[in-house]
Amino acid sequence: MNDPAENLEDRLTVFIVDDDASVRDSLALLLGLRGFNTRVFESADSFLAAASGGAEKWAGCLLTDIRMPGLSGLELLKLLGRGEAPRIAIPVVIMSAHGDVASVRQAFRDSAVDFLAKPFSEEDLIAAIEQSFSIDRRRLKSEMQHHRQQGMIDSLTEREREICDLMIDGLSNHEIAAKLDISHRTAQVHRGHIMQKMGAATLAELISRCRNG
Amino acid sequence: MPEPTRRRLFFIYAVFVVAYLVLDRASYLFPLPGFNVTPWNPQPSLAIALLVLIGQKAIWVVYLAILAAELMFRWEVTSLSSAMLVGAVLALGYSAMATAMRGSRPIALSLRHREDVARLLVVITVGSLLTGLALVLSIMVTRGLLEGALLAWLRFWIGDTVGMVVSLPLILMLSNEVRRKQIIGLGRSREYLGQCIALVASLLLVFSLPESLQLEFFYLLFLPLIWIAVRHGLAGTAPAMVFAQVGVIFGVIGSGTSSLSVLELQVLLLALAIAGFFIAVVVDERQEISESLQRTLKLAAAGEMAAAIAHELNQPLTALNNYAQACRAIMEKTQSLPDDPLPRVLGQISAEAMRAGDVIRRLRDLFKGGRLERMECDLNGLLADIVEDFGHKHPDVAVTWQALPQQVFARIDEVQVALVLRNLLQNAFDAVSKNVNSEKRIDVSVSKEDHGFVRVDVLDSGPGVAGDRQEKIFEPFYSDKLSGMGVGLSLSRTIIESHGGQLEVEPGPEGRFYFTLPLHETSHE
Repeated sequence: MNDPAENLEDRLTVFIVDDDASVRDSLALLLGLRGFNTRVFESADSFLAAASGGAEKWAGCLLTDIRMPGLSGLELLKLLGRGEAPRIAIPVVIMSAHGDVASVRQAFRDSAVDFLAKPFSEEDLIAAIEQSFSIDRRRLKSEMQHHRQQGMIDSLTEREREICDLMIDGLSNHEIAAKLDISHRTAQVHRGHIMQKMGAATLAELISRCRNG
Repeated sequence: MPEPTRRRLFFIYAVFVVAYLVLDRASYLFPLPGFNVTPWNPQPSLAIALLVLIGQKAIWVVYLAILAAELMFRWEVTSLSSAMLVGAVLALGYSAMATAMRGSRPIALSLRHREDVARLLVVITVGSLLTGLALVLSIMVTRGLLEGALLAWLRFWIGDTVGMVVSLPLILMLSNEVRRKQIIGLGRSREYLGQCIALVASLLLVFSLPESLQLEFFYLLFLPLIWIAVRHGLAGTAPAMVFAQVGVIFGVIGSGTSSLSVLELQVLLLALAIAGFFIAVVVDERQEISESLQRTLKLAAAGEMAAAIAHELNQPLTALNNYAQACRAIMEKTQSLPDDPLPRVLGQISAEAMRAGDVIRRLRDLFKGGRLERMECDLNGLLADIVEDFGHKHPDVAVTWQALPQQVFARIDEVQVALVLRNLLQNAFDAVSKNVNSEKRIDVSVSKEDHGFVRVDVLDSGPGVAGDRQEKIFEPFYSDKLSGMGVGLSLSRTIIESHGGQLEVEPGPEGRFYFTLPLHETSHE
C-alpha cells in the first residue's frame, strides 16, 4: 500500500519459463546484460508453485515456452487469463519452436502480448518485453492510484464521509446544514476539510476520486 | 503429345500405310463371298490409333490406305467405285470411333482405370456394329446383294470388334511413355517369358485336338492369360492377347478349321480378351492405390519427422542466438578496440542461427499440406506475383512471363499452388545455374487447355531431364541435387493431383515442366 512510485521500475521482472536449460540460461544471461531483472522456472508448474507463495507484487512480463512437460505454456496462459491461478496479472509473451497457426491463434485469443517463433532476434525479444512492461506499468499505476484514493477516503472521519456523500449527491452547504441539523458554518468547515483530505479543488475532482474508491 | 514436325508426320503416315496393308493382307482369311468380310480384322486398330493420336486431319491417309488395300488384295472381287465407297464408309466409321474416344471426356490412353477400359470396349463394340451396318447396306445398295447380308454384318461386327479389342489397347498403351517402358520391361522378365510359353502350350494343346473339341477346350487359354493379368496387369495382358490372337489364327490355318468354327473361336477369344482386360485393369488400379498410399505414408512420416526436428533443433538454435547476443552485450560494456571484429562476427553467428531456423521453418511448412483451404482465385494474378518476385531475386536469369489475356479462375489453395510454382522456379533456377557460358532463361506461361483445364508451363534453358529419370524425379527422397532433400517434386505432384490436375515433365534438351488445374466455371469471363 505504501510502495512509493519510484520502486515500480525495480519491480518489473521477466519471468522466464522454459524446460530447456540452455534456452533458460541464455535468455537470463542476455536479458540480465540488457538490464532486466529475470527469474527462471523450468516448468509452468514450478512457476505456479512459486507464485502461490505470494505473487501479489509480481510485475513485468511472463516469457513462456509452449511445449513443456506438465502444463503447457498455452494452458498456463489460459489459467492466468481465467484468474484461476494465484493473482498474477502480468502480461504474457509466448515462445514456440513450432509456431503453427493453431497455437498462434490460441495464444492471441487468450490475449498474449506477442508470439515469438524460436529462434527469434534480440530486437523482437526486447520489443515484446518492452511492450509487456509498458502494459504492466499502466496496470501498476492505476493500481497505485486506487490504493492512494482508498487511503484518502479512509482518512475521512465518520461525519466527513456522511457529508462527502451528500456533496456528491449535489447538495449545497445550506441544504447539508439543514439536513444534518448543523449550522451552515460547520458544514462549510467540514467541506473545507474534505476537499483538503481528498486533494480536490473542485466538486468534479472530488466525485472522480470517490468514484474509483 | 507434342506436335510432330511435317517430315516426321509423313514418316508416320508412310509407316501406317505399310503396316495397314500388311495387316490387312495377313488377316484376309476366310472371307465371306460377296461381302469380303473376314472373321479377324486387326487393321482398324491402326486406323483408329492414328486418328486418335494425330487427329482427324489424318482421315485422308486412312481413306487412301483402305482404298489401296481394297484395290490390291480384293481387286478380283471388287470394282474401283465399290472400293472407293467401302473406303469412305470405313474411314468415316473409324473417324467417328476416334472422335468418341477423344471427345469431351477423353479416354486416358494409358488405360489405368476400369472406366477407361470399359468405355474403350463400348466404343469399339457399338462403333463396329454401326460401321458394319453402314458397310453392308452400302454394298447391298451398290451391288444389289441381299443374300447373306445379316451374316456378313455379324461377321464384320465380330471380326472388327475382336480385331480392335485385342490390338487397340496395346497400340494405345504403346503411345504412352510410362506404359511403353512397362511393356518393354516385361520383355526382359523371366516370369513373363514362362507365362508366354504356357500360353503357347495351351494353344498347341487346343489346336492339336480335333475341330469338334477345339471349342470345348478353348477355356484352357484362360488359365495362362488370367495368370498374366493377375501378375502383370494390363501391360502384360495386352501383348499376351495379341499373341493369343496370332496363335489362334496360326492354329486355325494349321489345323484346317472350318470358317464357321473360326467365327466361334473368335467370339471365345473376345470373351477371353474382355475377361483378361478387366482383371488386369483391376490389378492395375489396386497397384496404383497401394503405391499412392505408400507415397502418402512416406510423406506423412517425413512430416512428423520434420516437426520433431524443428522442435529439437530450434531450442539449441535459440540458445545459440541468445548467447551470441549476450556476448555482444558484454563486448559493448567493456572497453574494446575501435576496429574489433568480434561484434561483427558475433552478429554473423546470430544471423546464421536465424538462417538455420528459417530453413527448418520452410522444411516444416513444406509438409504442412494436410488441410486444403480452397478459394476461388485468379491464377493470372497469383502466378504473376510469384514470377515477378522471383525475377527480382535473380537478376542474372532472364525470366519471361506470359499470362492469359483474360482472367482465369480456379478453386485452389493459394499457398499450396504458390508453393508448387516456387518449387518449379527454384528447380529451373538450379538447372540454369549450370549454364556458365550459355544463356540463363526461364519462361513461364499460362494457357487454356481443352476440357476446362488451365496449363502452366515452366521451361528453362538448363540441361533438361533425361528420359530414364522422368518418373524417378517424382519419387519422394530422390534428388539430382547435391543438397536436395528430394521432396519438392513429389510433394508438388501430390498437391496438384489433390486439386484434380497433373504435374508432368516433358522430355527434351531443356527443362520442361508443366501442371494443369481444373478451371472454375463462373460468369467472370
